[in-house]
Amino acid sequence: MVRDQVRDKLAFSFEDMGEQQVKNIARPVRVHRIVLGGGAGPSEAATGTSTKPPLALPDKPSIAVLPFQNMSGGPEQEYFADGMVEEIMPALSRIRWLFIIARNSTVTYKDQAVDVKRVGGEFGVRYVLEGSVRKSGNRVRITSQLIDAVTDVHIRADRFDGSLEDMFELQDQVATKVAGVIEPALEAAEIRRLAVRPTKDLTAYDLYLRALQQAHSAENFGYIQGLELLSQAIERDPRYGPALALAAICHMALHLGGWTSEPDANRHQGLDLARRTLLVAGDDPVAVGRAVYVLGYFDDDLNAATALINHSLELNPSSSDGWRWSGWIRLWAGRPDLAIELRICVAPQSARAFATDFNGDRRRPLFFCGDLRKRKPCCFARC
Amino acid sequence: MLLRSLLVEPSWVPSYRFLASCYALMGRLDEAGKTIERLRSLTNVVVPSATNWRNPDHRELFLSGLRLAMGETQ
Repeated sequence: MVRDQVRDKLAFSFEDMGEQQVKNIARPVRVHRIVLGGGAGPSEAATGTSTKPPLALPDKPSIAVLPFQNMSGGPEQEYFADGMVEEIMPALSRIRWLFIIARNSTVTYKDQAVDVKRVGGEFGVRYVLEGSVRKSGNRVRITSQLIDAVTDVHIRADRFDGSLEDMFELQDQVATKVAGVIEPALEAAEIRRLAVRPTKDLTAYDLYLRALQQAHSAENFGYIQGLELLSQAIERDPRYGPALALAAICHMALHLGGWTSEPDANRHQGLDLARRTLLVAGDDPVAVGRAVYVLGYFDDDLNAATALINHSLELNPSSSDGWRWSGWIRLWAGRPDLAIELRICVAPQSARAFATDFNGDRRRPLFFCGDLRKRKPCCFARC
Repeated sequence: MLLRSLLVEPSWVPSYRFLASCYALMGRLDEAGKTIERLRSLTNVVVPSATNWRNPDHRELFLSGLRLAMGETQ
C-alpha cells in the first residue's frame, strides 16, 4: 500500500521481491525493496557531489531553515545562534500547511557557503530561510532573509532588535514575517506561542541553549556536560519544560550509549523528568516530543506514548521532529511499516532528505523490513 | 544511510551497533569486525539489552547480528 502511494513521488525505485511470509500476518505479503539509485555511497554524501536531479516541489509550501550565522564574535557564542534557529522552527511548525525540513538535515550546511538553489533541490523545498544572530550585552539582533530557492531571489529581508527579555517575541516575529510572506492571509495569531513562556528566567534559558549545543554533539561527554547545565537551569526554574525534556533525553542517551555506570538511575531519572515535562510543557511540540520519546524508550507502556505523540502532532502537524519521534515509537512497538509510512508523510517528495533529515534513522525501519525469515536485513539496499 | 549518519554524528554508539549487525548479517564479517573495534573504543556496552525493541523477533535479529559481528557463532 505504501509503495503504491509513493511510487511516483520518490527519487528511488522499488524492487518487487514477491510475496513473502512475514511474522504475525497469516497471509503472504508482497514485499518491495527500496533501491536508492546510482549507488550513492557515503563519500558522495559527504562531499555533496550528487548529480541526481533536483527533487520535485511538494504540493504545500515548504521551507528549509539554514543554521544562522553567529555574529556575536567567538565560537563560544555559537550555541546562541544555533539555539535561535531551534526556537524559530517550533513557531513555524504551528503552521498547519507548511512543510519544514528539520534541523538534523539543514545543520549539515553550517559554516558553509550555500548555493540556495542547490539546497532547494536537495530538500525539495520552495523557500530557504537564512540569517544571523548578534548578541551584545543585553541586546540581541536577529536578521533573516527569505529566499525563493527556485529563482534564487531574495523575497524579504528583516532585522529584529530587542533585549534578551524580548527574546521569545523576536523569535515569534521572525516566524510571523516568514509565514506572512508565504501566505499573506495568515493570521499572526496562528503561530503565536502560548501566552505562557517556557521560562521567564533568562539565565535558565541561556543554560538550556548551552546544554542543547552539548547534547547535539551526540557524545558521552556532551550529554554529561548537558546534564550539568540543565540541572542548574531546572534548579532556577523547576517548571521549565524544555530543560526538563532535554535532561530526560540526556539520561536516555547515556543509557543507550552504555555511557553510564548506573543505567537504572538513568532510567529512573529519565522517566521522572519526562513525566514532569508533560505536566508543564503544554503543547510545546519539541518538549512533549522529547518527553514521549524518552517514555517510549524506558517505559513499558507504549500505548500511552503513542497517544501522547499523536495528540502533539494534532496540535503541531508540521513538526517534523514530532513525526520523527512518532516513527521511533512505532518502530519500537514492532511496526517498521508504520514507521516508514510516517517518514514518508513527513517528506513525501524527498528521498534524499530522508537520509540526512533523520540522520539515517530510516535505516532501522528498513533493517526490520528485511527478510526476517532468512534473517537478512535490507538496510544496505545500495544506500 | 548508517554510514552517512555517522558522518554527522561520528560518536553515536547506536549507529555503530546497527552497522555492525547489518554487516554481519550480510556476511561482510571483516567490516563487521572493524565496526566492533570502533564500537569498543566508544563504549563498554557493545551488546545492549535492547529492551526498547518490543518485538522479540526484531530484537533477536538485531542482537544476533551483533553477536555474529563479535565473532560468536549463532
